[in-house]
Amino acid sequence: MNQLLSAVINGVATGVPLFLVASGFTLIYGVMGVLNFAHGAFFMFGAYCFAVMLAGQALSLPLFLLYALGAAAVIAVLGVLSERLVFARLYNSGHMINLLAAYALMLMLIGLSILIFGTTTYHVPRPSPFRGAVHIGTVPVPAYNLFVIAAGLVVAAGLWFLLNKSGLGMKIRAVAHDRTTARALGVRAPLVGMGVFALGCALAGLAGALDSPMISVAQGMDATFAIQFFVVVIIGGLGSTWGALFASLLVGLMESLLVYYAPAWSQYGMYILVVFVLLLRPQGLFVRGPAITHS
Amino acid sequence: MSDHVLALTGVNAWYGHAQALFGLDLTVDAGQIVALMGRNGAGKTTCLRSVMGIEARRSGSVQLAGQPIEGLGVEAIARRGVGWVPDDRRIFPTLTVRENLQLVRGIAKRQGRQPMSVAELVEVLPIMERLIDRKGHALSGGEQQAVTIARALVGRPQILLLDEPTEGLAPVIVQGLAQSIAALPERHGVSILLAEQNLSFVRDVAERVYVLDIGRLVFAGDTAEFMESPELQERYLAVARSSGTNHG
Amino acid sequence: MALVLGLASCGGQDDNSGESGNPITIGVLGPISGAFADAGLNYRQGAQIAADQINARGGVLGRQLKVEAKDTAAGPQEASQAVRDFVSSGTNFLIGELSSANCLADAPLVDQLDAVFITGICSVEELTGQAGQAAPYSRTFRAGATSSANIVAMADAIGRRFPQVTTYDSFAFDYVTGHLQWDQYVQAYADNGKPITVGKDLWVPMDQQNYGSQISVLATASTEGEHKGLYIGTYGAGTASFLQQAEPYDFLKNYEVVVTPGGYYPVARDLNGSAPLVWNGYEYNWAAYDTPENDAFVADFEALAGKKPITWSYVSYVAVLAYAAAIEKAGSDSPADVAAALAGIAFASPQGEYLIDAVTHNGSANIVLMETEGDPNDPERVRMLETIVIPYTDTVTFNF
Repeated sequence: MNQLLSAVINGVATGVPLFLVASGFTLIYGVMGVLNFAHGAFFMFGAYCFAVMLAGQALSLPLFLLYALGAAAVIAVLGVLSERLVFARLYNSGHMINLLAAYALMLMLIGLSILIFGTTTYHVPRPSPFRGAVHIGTVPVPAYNLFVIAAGLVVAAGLWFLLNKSGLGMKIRAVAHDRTTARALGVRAPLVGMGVFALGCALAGLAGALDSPMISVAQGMDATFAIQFFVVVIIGGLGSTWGALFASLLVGLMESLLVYYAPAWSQYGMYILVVFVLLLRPQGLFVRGPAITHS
Repeated sequence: MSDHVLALTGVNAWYGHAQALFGLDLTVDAGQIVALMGRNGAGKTTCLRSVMGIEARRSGSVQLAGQPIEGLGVEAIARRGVGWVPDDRRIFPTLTVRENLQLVRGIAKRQGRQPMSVAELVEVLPIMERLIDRKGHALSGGEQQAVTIARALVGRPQILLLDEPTEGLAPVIVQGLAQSIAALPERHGVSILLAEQNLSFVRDVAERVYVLDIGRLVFAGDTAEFMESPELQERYLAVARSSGTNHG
Repeated sequence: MALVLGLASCGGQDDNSGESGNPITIGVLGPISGAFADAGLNYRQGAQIAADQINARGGVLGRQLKVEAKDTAAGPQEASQAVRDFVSSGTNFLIGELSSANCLADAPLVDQLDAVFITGICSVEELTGQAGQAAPYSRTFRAGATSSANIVAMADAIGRRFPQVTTYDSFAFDYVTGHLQWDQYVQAYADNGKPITVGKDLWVPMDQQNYGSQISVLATASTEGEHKGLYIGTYGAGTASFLQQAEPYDFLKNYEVVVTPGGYYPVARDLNGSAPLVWNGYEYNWAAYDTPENDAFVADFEALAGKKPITWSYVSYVAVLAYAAAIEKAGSDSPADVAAALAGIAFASPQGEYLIDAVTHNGSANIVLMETEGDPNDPERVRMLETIVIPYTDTVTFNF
């Protein structure tokens, strides 16, 4: 029972940064039709920026959050630059060209990160209130994991509110459904697209910042999530934020539980899920009907 | 004479390398309802999309209330007061009808135009009253048509581009629609360019008729004149005898 | 094949064969991008220091040495391509590589293409001759330790220092070398007559860094005072992630000894003063040798890189020294002559005289055992508590 609780909390804590990255990715795809292959690189950049800002100090919680949002803002700007310089010219060029452009962007960002941040590993300490473990019964749980879960829920709620209850959210949904008609109603789709790109990248950057105390901030970090968040959007359905949340938690939990109960399978759990979803419901668990059409 | 809400002069349009419109001249005066007729593939939809700025390649001049709009982007043209009601309706499935309208309201307000209230819309299209909180994907064909028109109207555009609004609708609904459409210029000051194949509908609402045949203008005149010539109707609207239905 | 090679070398810019006056290029293979980019950087820097020192003394055969690097992070295919690219541009003297898979791809290719390869870090036994047997590849040499020499030396020394520790938990990368090294470690204790029992052994994939689940298992598997040891079979960023994720549980204190084969100093350095106390065994640390050669190496490296050299820097440095000595001895820069000269060469190095065995092609690499922990007050944030040098001659006597 103890181990189960520990596994569940670990799984959810792993799933949250994954959700943040995947939600940004799926939002960008849903609205712009762009598969942002470079998304993992934005995650890495966010972690690097955050690590440099902290310079190895353990901060108080408010400062920690402030810097994390700061890192996210920097990545948002990086995202807008990428969108303007790379993707804006390629919207009508089809998926293959966009994929290649995103891949090229990823390589460029990786090279840039080596130039700017070097090859050493950056160490990001947890914020001071969350350095140790809390005990739930007799089970030790890192306090920071609980914080990340809470932060993830706040972001998820904020995202839901933005998309479903705000004027901007209405425009985003309209452009995601039918870009041409939205434009014909006067919606400035290119601006909405830029905003969505900024938001999506900011989410990835925030995920990098929040995740950084838990993993090494170093070269190769972008690859950490690359496979996982692609798996998440396949399972949850491209374009669905709820799908991203559900699938991220599912993937996190599955891996965590397998490590406890069937360690030999722990690396394959993800792929087994993908096989099932593709066989039974190839559009993803949360997407209605065939994939979203764009015009 | 210079009171044209919409004026097309020498407009050509291409799909890739295929030319779909050849030197089209067309005007709509303020307060007029003008019909654009022709077979499937004659270029009616292309013409409307060209005005809206949706077609990639075109040449020639398009003026809205005397101002050139042919170089502008789609959203800029829409903001200046052109409402587009496409033939495939294009409702946003997960937005409610209210949200569909709210989208346009906000934009119109920022352009300095006072948007129409729900009450005013219901007056034009009574069916709207019971649809207001339904989601886009829960509407029938006729209901979607009404919402699409309402959505294009709510921002009080100068001109409405209606693409085959009666297609697929039951005759009794078409009747009601004709009444609503005919009243629009007088009640709300909006002019209309209507692409249609339904002769009786056109007779009920339009003052002038332009006829297109394979991208070229072959008739421009009063509705009455076109309606009184079965020979013209046969030549430009009838199905081609040898090869069955024309699709283009 | 010879025709192709002939054409290829005719087209080369930095042609190593031919007139004196042209520089001799050393090609560095290693990860420049990806999770182990720090290794590639240290290889380049170590090689550069050697080249600079040698050039300052007049170069080799009156010619300057140049260092060029290629990225082989993507794996054996990229490594093979890098070898071909180097050779076709006239660079026939190669060093480096981190992954044994890459080395095993490079070695036969180097034989085929008339080049030479010295590796320091690839620890797989099959690259050179073992137990006195002849080297399987005529053009591949090892200026570093084999995996088993490293592990066995560690097991012996740790076993003697901590005789009460008879149970080990292990946390290691799930790949061939990872399993091999753990098996060797356990076997070494058995061979010494003091077998250890395995408590929990946890394996993690190399390409992901989320170890939360495994760490929870470990954290609850041990309590203080049990005389247990922990074997950490990860390295680089993997070890850093492990330690970072383990920190909140504070369970490392439950182990009487924590050991890791391979480098720990760079990880400790990056942990900015909070690195826990760990024993590790590798080929070098900067405080291991009190010789003028080592002092010069450390000083020059610090001037170039802004930090102290580590094993990755050292083995590259030694490899370039080996090439310089061999080219001088051969009196020529033809790869065949240089390879012949490398077999059995002796030259001066920071650890004293360095030898490369003529038959097996193994270098006389010492094993340096280090006890290290983080220190926020140290300029490099690391304090080395103890350093034990196990000379090569002692490591050779172990059974493989």
